[in-house]
Amino acid sequence: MAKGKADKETPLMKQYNAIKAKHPGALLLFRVGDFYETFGEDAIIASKVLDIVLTKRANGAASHIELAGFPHHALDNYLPKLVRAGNRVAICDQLEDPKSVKGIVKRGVTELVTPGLSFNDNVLDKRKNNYLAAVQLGSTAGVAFLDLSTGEFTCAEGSWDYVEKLLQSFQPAEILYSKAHKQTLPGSLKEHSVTFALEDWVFQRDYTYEKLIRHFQTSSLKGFGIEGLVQGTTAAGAILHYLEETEHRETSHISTISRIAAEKYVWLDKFTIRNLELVAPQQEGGIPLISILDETVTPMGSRMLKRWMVLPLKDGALIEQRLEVVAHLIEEAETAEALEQHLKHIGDMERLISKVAVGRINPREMNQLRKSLEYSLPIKELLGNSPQPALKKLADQLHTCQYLLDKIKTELKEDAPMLTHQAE
Amino acid sequence: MIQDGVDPELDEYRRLAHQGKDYLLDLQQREIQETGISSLKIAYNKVFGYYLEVTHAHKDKVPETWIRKQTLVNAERYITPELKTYEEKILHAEERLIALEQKYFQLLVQEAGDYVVQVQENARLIGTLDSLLSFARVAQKNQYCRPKIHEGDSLEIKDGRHPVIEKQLPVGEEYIPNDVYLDHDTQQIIIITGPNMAGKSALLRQTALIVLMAQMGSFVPASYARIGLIDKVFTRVGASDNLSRGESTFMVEMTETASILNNLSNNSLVLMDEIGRGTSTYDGISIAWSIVEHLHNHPQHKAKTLFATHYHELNELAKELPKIKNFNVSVKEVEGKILFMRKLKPGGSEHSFGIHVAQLAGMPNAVVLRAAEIMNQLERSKGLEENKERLAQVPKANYQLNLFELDPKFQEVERLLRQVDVNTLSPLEALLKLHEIKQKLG
Repeated sequence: MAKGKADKETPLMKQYNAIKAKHPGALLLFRVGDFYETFGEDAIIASKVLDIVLTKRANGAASHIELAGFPHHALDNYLPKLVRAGNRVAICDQLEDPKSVKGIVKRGVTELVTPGLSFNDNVLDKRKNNYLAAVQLGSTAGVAFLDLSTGEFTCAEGSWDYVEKLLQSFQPAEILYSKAHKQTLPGSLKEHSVTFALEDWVFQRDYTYEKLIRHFQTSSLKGFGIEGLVQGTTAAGAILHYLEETEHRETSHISTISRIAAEKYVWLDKFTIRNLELVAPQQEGGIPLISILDETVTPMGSRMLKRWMVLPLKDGALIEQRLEVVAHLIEEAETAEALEQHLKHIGDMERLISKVAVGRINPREMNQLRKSLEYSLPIKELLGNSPQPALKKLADQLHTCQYLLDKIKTELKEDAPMLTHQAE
Repeated sequence: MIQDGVDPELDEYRRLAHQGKDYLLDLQQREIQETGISSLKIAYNKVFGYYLEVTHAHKDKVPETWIRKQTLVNAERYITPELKTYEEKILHAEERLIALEQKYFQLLVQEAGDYVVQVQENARLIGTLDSLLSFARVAQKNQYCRPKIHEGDSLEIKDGRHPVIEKQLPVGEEYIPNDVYLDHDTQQIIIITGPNMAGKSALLRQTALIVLMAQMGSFVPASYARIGLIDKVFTRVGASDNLSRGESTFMVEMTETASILNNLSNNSLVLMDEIGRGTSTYDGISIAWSIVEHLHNHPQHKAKTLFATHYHELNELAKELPKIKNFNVSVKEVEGKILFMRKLKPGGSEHSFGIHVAQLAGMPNAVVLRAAEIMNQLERSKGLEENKERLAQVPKANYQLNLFELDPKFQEVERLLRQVDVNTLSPLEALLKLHEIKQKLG
């Protein structure tokens, strides 16, 4: 009797193998009851990275398979560790209520978390952008960058030197390229710790163009000033394809795309960014310039400053405008102090609103968003009274979002919990 | 989670859930009095809802109407019909409460979704303000000055400091500031000689950092800075970290240098540190020499350059080429030991003080003494003097660039000329060809 079953998979493992096959290269977290389980190779990796017990399960009658798992509520703890270790992680959930079905529950991958695609606060460093890059190789090379957590989306094209330099400046957490170039990949890409090859048909002009105009609901890309960037937009479209492939379907916060206008910025070759230790030390323990210059108090400020540092300006008027404001803020020490006091309370509104757009915000975070909006109000007022024209302009541009603010205040309790399904 | 007053239905369920719980407390008190079980507890678990828990000590006091559900090591759990009736009410209210709260929260999230663009814009503005405030704070804290930005070609820094190193010095030690001046026509290239460790690299780096900080819109670590806008910055500074890839130091150095020379612009700032170090002395001097000449004589791009080297032979270049100036990072020799002054001064330097550095590094005394002896011998043999003389006689760079390299137009002309077969050309065709070529030149 046992013989007949020996090489037969259990229905569960059959389902597992089918899903696993759909996501090659990803570590599959398979929801079984209250646990996320990993099997085989995945289990070996997970047990090492997470320091959890590796066991074996008799699968069918004769075959044994490695198994490691953790309770589902520990996902927020364990997922970042897996991702930070450079793994692509597919989360497979039960799509039906087990109570209501007979036999095996329907399961499917609900999210694929990769180093370049994450919303999890434990994966993201709030002082840094977390970029996903796509590279289109060719005599003219194209590149696109997306920070899914903030919605920032840019592209560019030029010589490979130029693209390489941008990669050096933006330091993406993950780089996509076409399988067609796997053999001829430039050295700097090969060395990047996390890269992923997409099918070569993805990097087709028509397909990617279509993807972009469908996402932005426009008839062309002219309005974004990137219509002429054939290679750059191809890379950008490939990123949108990748979002879909990884089950990131709520992406309305990616509301615009822009060209990285290289001619506006000082050209720093890739050796220079490294040699001068602008944002990262050359040796461990070294101190980069940014750690001297960055005294920002908000995550948005920190990320902005970093961008300014790798993209110094060439336009005298724009530089003067910044210098003028800096001089003014030094003179008006009291105003500066007051501004800082308010800024300190502003959280990561950029990433919070992204979470709103993708429907992943929890009640506690909604209150953090409210707080950030609240503390923006006195800033708007202070700047509005400033004699400095650039600051005054900044005040005019700041939205009060009054309706939203009032709505959150009247509807949401201040001590709202993290989870929505808890009774008081 | 959701405030009172948003939805009367929600408030009602919340009241019911609360009331139910108050009722349970009452029930507990009542049962304690009736049964005399002082340790009676009402609790909840997922498996069988609300229950009454009685320790074994009081087991015999349990009324017969209670239904036993579970036996633990030291207690038993019971339910009663009354308890179950209330449980249903409470659980139902709670279930509805949670569902309604989730609904309202989802609606709120949806409404917030309309504000994505506004909040993103706010985030950008807040980020800008925060960054500028940070610049202001850092400028004040570290005594930076406001740079003067201009469209000309001169770069003038007075009392410039290295923003990072000046913060790392031990207490009581002051960073020695330095002046740097560069422009297109009088002082395009500065050759800095001086011993290792004298601070050449720091000086190079700080010059680039001051320029970049200014163009980021930050104040700069100097007492005065007037900066003609730079559009490209190139550095060949220090050892690269490519060694682990198996490329030789020298190859890496040459690759990086080549990339600099091929991408120059008229408003470039170029920093080169110890070019040619990775090869033999003669190779090194020769390559460094011709690189400096190339930068100086470039017909289009007068890249402002700081060139640090320990080949003091390169000081000879300044004699021939007007836009090159020699500077040295001074050291004082006191009783056979050296003091690093870290001050940039006009003029070249004669020694590289390598032996002193070896001594400072803790090289065994015997080795240091022997090295000094050998150097004395070499210097006496006038090897160095001869080198200098020979270098002075190096033929001047024949720097007439090939006509056709200069301009794409000329390249086109070259192409046309090469196509012409003079042997088959009629006089009229020749004239027409000449006309065509002339038109190409515009």
